[in-house]
Amino acid sequence: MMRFPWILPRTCSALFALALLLPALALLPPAEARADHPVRPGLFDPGPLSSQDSTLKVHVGDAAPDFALVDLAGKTVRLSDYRGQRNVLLSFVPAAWTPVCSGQWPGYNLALKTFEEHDTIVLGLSVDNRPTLFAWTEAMHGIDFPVLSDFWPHGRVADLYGVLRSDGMSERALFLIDKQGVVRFVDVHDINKRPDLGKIMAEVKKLSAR
Amino acid sequence: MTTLFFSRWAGRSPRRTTPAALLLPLGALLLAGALLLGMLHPDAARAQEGEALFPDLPLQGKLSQEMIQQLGISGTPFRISDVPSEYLFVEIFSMYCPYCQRDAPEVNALFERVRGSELWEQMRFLGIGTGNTQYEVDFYAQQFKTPFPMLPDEEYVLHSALGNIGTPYYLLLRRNGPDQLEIVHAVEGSPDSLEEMFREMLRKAGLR
Repeated sequence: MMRFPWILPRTCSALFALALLLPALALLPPAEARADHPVRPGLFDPGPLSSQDSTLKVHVGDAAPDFALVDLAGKTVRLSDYRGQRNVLLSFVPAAWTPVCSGQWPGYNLALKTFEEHDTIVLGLSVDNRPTLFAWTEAMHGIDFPVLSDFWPHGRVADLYGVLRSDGMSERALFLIDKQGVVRFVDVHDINKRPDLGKIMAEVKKLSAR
Repeated sequence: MTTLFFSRWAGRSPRRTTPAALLLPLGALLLAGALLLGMLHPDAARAQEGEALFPDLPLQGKLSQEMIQQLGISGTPFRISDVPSEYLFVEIFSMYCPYCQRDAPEVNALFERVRGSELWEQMRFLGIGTGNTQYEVDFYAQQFKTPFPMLPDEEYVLHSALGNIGTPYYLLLRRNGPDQLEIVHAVEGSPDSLEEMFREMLRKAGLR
């Protein structure tokens, strides 16, 4: 009978070990197991990211740094435009066309009336450019609050607030600013997860009741 | 060490290995690979109509007395198999899903038509908010004045069991005996026509 080289039994054993390990791997939850996503072709899933990758520069009680950014219609929106008028909820999202982000602003859109009832306007900020944000928000059937492009200088406002990540995306972050321009609530959320609307609304209601 | 262990387990000297000795681990490897793919690939794991049972997991959350009565259950938590009606139309949605929001009035209209027809004797509706908190489910139901019960799947338990489906996801389930929930028809994504989708569900169920 033909004898095989010495390497074969080792290969044989390695295959066996692999065979045992594969089903064990199958017991691990898949990366996307905890992210719901609307059925929409073309979404890019970056997979799990480090939950936070920046150092916050603005805290509760600080004056919110003013900024001016262009919305999708080309209008310049300044944070200070709302001073003395409305509370402002800044919602930074990391990137267009990704699953969690695509499942965040449509919820705020649904809740716009409730935000308005509590004297609060939502401003959405993303480091994507205007054409990308236009296409993305159209695919989400439109977003009715101002969507601001923080594309150039890239992520300047995100950096001003300390939520610009080292890869050029922003954190998934919320800043609630009162009518005097003071930051009243900050949530730099785990980038892989969506903040609970209930907690945001509780903060909004608390602020409007002051 | 692993090599040594398996050599001993195989009961022969490494130098005496033959091609036949490779067949067993190779077969095991192929089987394990197939199992792995089956368990990890979302499409492979996705519940398929006619060949899979709906995962009858316990559902928790708050329901009004009216909704509890509508479902015919004693309260929460409950399992879908506790709902006594023969058929159950299930909508897996998210408050944050724009397509679910767009479909919501039509789903409500579908429910009202069923409630006003003889199908009501056999069918109930249930909404499950995937990844949504109780607040978010209640908010959605309030915004759309949803006339059927909706519960949260905040920790994505059912979502994972169904193969990480996208939203919306519509299913018609049929009770085939105790704890046996057959998936009659399932549609992932917002269909061109909910009406058409529902007709197809009824056709597959033999109801029309």
